[in-house]
Amino acid sequence: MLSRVWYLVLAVALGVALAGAFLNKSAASREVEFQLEEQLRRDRVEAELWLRLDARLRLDALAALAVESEVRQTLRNSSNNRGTPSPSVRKRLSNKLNVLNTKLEEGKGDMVFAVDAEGEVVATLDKNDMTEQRLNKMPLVRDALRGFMRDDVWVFNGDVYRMAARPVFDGGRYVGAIVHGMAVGDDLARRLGEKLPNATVVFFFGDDVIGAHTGGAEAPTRSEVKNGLAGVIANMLDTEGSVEIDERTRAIASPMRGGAAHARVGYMVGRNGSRAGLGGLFANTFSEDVASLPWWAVIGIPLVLLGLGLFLLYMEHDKGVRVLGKASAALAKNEITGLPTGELRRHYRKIAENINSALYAGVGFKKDADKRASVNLDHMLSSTRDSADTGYFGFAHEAPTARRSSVDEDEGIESKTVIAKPALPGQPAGDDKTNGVPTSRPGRSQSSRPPAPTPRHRQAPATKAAKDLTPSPDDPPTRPRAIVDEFDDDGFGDTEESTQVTHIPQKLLEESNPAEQGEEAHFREVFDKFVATQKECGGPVAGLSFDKFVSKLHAAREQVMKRHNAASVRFTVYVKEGRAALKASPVKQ
Amino acid sequence: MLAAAVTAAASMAYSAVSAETVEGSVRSTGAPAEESTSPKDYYWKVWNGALPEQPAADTNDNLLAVLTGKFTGPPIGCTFSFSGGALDPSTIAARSGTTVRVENRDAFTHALSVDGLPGFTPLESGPGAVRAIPVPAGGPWRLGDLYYGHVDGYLHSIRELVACAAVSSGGRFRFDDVPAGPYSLRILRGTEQVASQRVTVPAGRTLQVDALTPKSRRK
Repeated sequence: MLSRVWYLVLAVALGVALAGAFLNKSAASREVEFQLEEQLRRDRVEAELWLRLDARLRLDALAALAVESEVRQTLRNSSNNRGTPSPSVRKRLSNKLNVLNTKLEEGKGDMVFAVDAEGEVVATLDKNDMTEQRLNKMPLVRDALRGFMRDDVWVFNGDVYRMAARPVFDGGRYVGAIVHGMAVGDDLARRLGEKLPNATVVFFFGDDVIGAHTGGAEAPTRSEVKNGLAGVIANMLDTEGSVEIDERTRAIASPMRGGAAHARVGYMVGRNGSRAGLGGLFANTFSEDVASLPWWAVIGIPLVLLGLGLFLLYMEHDKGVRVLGKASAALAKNEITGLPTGELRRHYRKIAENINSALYAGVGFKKDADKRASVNLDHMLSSTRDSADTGYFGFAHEAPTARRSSVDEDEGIESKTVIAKPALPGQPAGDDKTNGVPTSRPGRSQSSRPPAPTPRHRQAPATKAAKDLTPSPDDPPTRPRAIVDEFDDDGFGDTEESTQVTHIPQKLLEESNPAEQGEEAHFREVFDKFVATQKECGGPVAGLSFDKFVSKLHAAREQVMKRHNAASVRFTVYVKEGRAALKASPVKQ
Repeated sequence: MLAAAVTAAASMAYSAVSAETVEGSVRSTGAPAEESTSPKDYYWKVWNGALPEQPAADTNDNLLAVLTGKFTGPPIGCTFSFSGGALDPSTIAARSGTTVRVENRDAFTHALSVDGLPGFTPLESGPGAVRAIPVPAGGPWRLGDLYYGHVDGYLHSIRELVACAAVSSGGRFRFDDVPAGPYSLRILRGTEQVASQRVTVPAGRTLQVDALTPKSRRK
């Protein structure tokens, strides 16, 4: 039960761990997203600062043009309705603007105008023919003509320009302004992108990208950013935050400061975030983090839990299996008579109890059931016991267990048995049915045993054949030709254990005449020899008493005599498996 | 086509009979010009540090003088344009059911927009191009430019529109080729009429209208 609870604990722990991992992943994803969001906000602030600085630098650079004497003089002559400059004057001023613009180097404008006080364009760069046009209603120019230095962003004939203008004054009054414009394109994106490592910078006009710069392999590609452009622009005015372009890319956009913001001109900064999948949980892990782990807990707690689980598993299962294994081995060796249920718990105890019940009931394999059902001597004796724990036969675990020898082992003996076996009544001697075929008593169990010894049959009538085959009295008496087929069936196939004396030398018979005194003496002799042998083998003798021993011998003798129709029974003591054992030999004559 | 030709011929015949001039002026209210830009339009707008700031002039480019009355000929002088980077003037008018033309006299492209005017789609108008706006009854409608946020104006639909005249920075306006007869002189600014006066244009001489005092600007 505990081990099952332990499995539940492990399952819950695993579930908690997985939940923690996924929660951690979600938290990590949010953290990554938050960091990316914050980074993009900083990018936008930095971009704004850079664009502000760039505008200031352009305004300052225009001073070189605004203070140039030819510029001032020409504009002064053109202003205040003094007349329109001649084409040659305009041309000369335009050339001058070209020269001055070239000197601006990095701040060189793509578009430069010199306007008089009324806002009329007096001179331009060669490529910007706008002479005699007016710009007086453009806020940038209007403010410049009022004395302000100002920047702006224009959409000018389809292109986007960062504009700057500053007033031109001469003789203590405003005479015009210099207007300067730089195209917004890849160059501007590159210069801004250099300030934002690992970011992609895109300038857009409506849905079109007019300039882009990718800041390295970590930055999203231009196409990736462009794909998200529409969504970013749609959210540009609604939210201050960034917008997700794809799973790991976010971008933040801002309209460019200037009148062109009205035309949806702006810039966008895109960045890739760290991966935060389950595999990416450790993407942002540093070696310091690993070093700071409480390794005693990371390793120790699982080990303790593992040990606890193994202990519980051992206590509930392995221990039971081990006890059962040992007990079954001992049972096979006939060292115990049943499985130790007391040492087992729950299911194993139940199993052992069931097996024990089966053992006690004699349940077994069907093919051997008839043989096992035969009664051996111990069973016979046990059935006649006064109690289960008295005398030699009262020690059940000390009783020799019947064993069956193979037929092959007994073949040679059985032929003798045929000769020696007395013919049954009504059956002629030498009948094949009795020759060599053990007489079995199938289905005989402990409960079916004869309840009590019947009056002994002193002696079965000897057949002629038996007489003819009876050895001469000169046969050596030490080892009678002992073969009893029925003893084989009873599990005493071993001739050493199941000996039936068919012919006893006369001398021996005379010496052991089964008179009352002689029988008593025989029993005394057997008892003394058994006790002595038992002591030699180191077996217990404390429970042995002669009276009980004799009563058992009487009971056994009665059964053996009845079963084998013997005239008498001789008991001999021998050592079996390190213990003293008794062997009953029916005497036919 | 035939009707138009007949109308034009009748108008020419009438004008030939009497085409007079109406001159007038609008007094300045002295109110500063509206700031058309916001701080979001620039990073820097700083004084130059040398000369004092030039005060903003009241250019009256948001004023439009119109004559209304019983006249079936085409509206006189009611053509408008982009000039200097914005509508000039920013308040324009058209007779209801006719089309008003807005010419781009700038060197760069504009894209006029009319908020709320059904059937009108903002399109780019390059330098020299003319954008025609069909004007139904109703209005006024707000005008703008897709490219230039500072462009702002209003379009009025007037059923008995006779003539239009812009107001100069000095406040003066002038109607030419106006048939003699009784009219209403109105001064429009943005969405409102800020001054009006009934006038009768005499035949054979120019009508001088006393200076009008427009209402002060709404806050």
